[in-house]
Amino acid sequence: MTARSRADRRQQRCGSWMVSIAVLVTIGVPLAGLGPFVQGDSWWFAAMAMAVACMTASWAVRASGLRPALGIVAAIAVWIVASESFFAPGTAFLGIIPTPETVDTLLSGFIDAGTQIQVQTIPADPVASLVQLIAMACGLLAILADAAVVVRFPAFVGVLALGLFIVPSAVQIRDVDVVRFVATVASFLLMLWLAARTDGHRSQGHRNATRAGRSPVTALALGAGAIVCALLIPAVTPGLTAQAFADSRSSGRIPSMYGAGIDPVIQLGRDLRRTTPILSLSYVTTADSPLYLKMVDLNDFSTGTWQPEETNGGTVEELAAPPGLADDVERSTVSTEVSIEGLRSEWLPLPSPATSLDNAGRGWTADPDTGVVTLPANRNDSRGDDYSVESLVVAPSADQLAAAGSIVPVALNPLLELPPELPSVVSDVAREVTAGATTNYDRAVALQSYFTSGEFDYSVETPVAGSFDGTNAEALAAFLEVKSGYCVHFAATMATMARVLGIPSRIAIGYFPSSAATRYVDGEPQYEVLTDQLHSWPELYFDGIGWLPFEPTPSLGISVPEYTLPAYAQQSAGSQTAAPQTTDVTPTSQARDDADPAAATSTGEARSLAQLRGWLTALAVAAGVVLLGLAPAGIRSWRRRRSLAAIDGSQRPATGAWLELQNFARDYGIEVSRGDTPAVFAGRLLRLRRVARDDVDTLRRAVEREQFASANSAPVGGAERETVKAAVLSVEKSIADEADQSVRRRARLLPASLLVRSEKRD
Amino acid sequence: MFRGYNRAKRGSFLLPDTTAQSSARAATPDIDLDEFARLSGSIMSNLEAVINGKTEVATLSLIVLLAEGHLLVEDVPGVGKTTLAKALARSVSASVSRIQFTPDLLPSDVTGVSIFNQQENRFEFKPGAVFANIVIADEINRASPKTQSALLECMEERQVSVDGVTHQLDTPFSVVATQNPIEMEGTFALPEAQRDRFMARVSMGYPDAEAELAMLHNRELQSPLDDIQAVVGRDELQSMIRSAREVFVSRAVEQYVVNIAQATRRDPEVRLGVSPRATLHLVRAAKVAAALDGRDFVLPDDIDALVVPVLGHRIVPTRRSVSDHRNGVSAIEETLMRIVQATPVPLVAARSL
Repeated sequence: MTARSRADRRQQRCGSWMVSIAVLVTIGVPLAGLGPFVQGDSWWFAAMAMAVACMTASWAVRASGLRPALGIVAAIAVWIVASESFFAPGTAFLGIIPTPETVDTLLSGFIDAGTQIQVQTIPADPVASLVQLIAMACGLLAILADAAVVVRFPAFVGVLALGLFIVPSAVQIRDVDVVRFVATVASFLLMLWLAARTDGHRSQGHRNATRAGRSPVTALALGAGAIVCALLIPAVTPGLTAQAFADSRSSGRIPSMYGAGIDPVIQLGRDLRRTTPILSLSYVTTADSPLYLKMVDLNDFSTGTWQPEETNGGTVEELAAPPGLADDVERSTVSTEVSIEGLRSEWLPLPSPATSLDNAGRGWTADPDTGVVTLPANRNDSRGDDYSVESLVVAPSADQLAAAGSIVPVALNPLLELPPELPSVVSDVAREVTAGATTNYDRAVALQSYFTSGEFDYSVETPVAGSFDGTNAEALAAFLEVKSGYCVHFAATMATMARVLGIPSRIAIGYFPSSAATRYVDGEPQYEVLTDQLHSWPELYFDGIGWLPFEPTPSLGISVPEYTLPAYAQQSAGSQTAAPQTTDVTPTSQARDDADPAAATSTGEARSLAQLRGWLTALAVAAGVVLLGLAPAGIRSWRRRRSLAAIDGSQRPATGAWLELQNFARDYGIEVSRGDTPAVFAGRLLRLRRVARDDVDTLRRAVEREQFASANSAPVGGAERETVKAAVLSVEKSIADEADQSVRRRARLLPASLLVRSEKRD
Repeated sequence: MFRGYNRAKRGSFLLPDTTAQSSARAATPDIDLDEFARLSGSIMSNLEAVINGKTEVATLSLIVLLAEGHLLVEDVPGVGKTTLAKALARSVSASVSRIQFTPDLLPSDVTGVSIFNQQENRFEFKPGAVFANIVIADEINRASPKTQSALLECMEERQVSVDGVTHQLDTPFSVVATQNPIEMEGTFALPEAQRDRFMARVSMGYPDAEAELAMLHNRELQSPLDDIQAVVGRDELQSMIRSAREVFVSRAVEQYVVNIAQATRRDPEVRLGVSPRATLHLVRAAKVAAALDGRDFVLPDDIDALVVPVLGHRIVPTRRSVSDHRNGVSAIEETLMRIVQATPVPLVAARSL
């Protein structure tokens, strides 16, 4: 006996230091995740030294045979002594006993650490106070973890580790480091396993009777399986998941889908439906407000689908002057520095109309007609490019717009081409909407008002569901029918209608103005552009002014160019009669001005997309939760049906029925113990009022005979099977009838019998 | 192979269960379960007439008698220990002897002695008190250890060796010993090894108020012991014993018993677990209990009911567990009940044979 207990103690001691080391690793690995925030690694070693000291003290006390609680006291003592001797040296009485001075010093250290955190930029310089904060916190964590293990609640260590683990993500939006995640979880599982094993050794003699050989292996295997799933599922299913798992920032995000040779419009739709928007690019601009960034124009509609024209080669230095812009139109120059992050495109996003592009010489070519800048064919990947661009902000007056009339230069006639089989509904609606307008500009404004009047819904999903996603003529007709779609449909339909009405038009594809500046660089705002800001909008040509963008897409929250508003047009109509006034009301704001800064912060398309995505995610999560919630009920009812069916074929029908009855009773909260004899369980059932004694007794006697009587005297007949089955069903019905509504519901949805290991013994 | 046999059997076995049982029973020459029930019932009514309201104790003493074991009755004075033993002895027409143990009782008083017959000029064995079917050993703890062990040897060996000659004891042979746990001064408590030889220990306990009142009324004129007639002859007792031996014990129940026994040896609150003899006794007693219940097979319930009386006196609890409780007996009972509750009752859905 003594030899065994000695061996036990040795085992326990050995096990406990292994557990301690596992706990240390479980703390140390996520702690290393603070690496990007603090320079160097000395702080980590200091913190771990503190943790090791505390854990060692606790372990030593436990190993010497004293009570584990004393170990925790020792750990706390070590923590105090170490803290005061390193972070408040010389203040303690006899170097050990803390004095008020010690407390003051340590407190001032914490306060200083708080200040440092606020003042310093990342990564912070590990000054003494910061190290003190980290080390003391880490020591405290180690003591907590140790205490959790001592009170045989090792799973709590996981909470601590998780807390440490999410600190980096909470401080800064960062990707989850997969390696660190796996390492943390693995060490946590190892710690659980070791703790369970040690615990099992310790209590083998004590608890065996009650534990009935339950092993932690199952639980650990489940845990490991969950980790593997957490790693694999995001990798194989794009969307709805944290993308970080699939692709870390350094190796490049999943790029925008702009690719050569693929219909950019369809790609745009797909990008809009992405679940997690990612950063495409960012730019610093001298403009007062965020800008539309245009990548490409779709000019050609002669084939029935809006397509980009073949671009003509040209040098970047010779960006053509904006076509058709007369000198008297008011304009201002804006310079913008763009740096591309995750966008993989063959076109450069530029504010339009661009006048000059610096940092050229990478083989970029510019189309002199459209101003579209294209990357060389061998490199359709724009990621990492930085460039600066000068562009104009055109601010035509209402008079100038009105004066454009309906004149179309001959050179632009190709931009009026329409496919021969254009559905009549398009032109009918166009004419109906613009009836009464005299100038091209009035017509354009009328068209835009038609789309933004509230008749149309913004929806990324409807076109897909209605399978009219795209810009071909049929899609436009369908869109006018359904009155629901996204920017592509609005832009294409308005552009097509404009052509019907004799206004040269094209579709611009790029990014709509982003929300408020994320930060300021040298006093100028920097904007971030996300993939879900991809946008398309129609541009219409007016004589003497050139191309002007319009914004027919509703509910985006973008403040549309002022000149496109009906009020502005009416003003111009009025100004035709009262010309002098026009100078007074000439809008000084720029064409793409966001009149209201508050409106600029509301992220138009992004917001509605985010809402949509939120709803979809919520729906998916809800569906998943419902499915998961129904899973136990499904498994239970399957098992029940199987065991009831097995009665017919079993050699021991009553036993099968009895075990099923026990599971049923478990579901209904009736106590079922493996130590119960059939009679004990039957007695418990009979305590319920409605349970028929005959049925229970029939069952019990049958079970007892099957299990314990000599084989020769326990015949099994077909008639008996029927009796047994009927008895089981009747007893179960009585149990269910007697239970409360809530108990019944719980029994059905969360059957407790699933938590019990199946009754297979031997 | 067995499976096929069973199936073939089952084909013809569409009879009700009782028929099957009696047909199985018919193979043996002994009395069937009905007769067993009749006989045991009449013994029981005798016992209950004597000790009012103590059915459990009466049943247990009958079980021990039929299982060929020995019974240790332990309680305070005056609750009817001796009366019970006498009633049991009288109910069966078997020879009964009674020994009052005192410190000066000699082993030869128990076993018998060889004395010299001067006429025949040779030693002659005078049988002692143990030469009876039922021996009532009153206040066994008052005798010296030497005398105690003389009796205990007879109990186990069922024979007496005097002067190199071995004399077999009569069958059935059952000792009903009583012991007074309170007044321990000048007594010699039975050591663990000797307690182990008793199949069961019962505690009489005080009668409840109603039973005590009835007792007053009954005994006003005469002792109820006088009214007791022998209801079972010696041969009938023998065949009852044989019949109880025939009760079937399945592998599952055997496993269950062994699990319980093993658990007592591992339990942290037990200093000394039960012996293999205890396991044997438990199964034998359970067989009789099953037969008394009219069954020809043993249930785990039979085991459960007998665990405390059969195993209780053999277990030595740790000092700590005793000090945690009011007294040692309840500590043992609690420990045993905990073990029984924790030992899984074997229920196997598939037939293993």
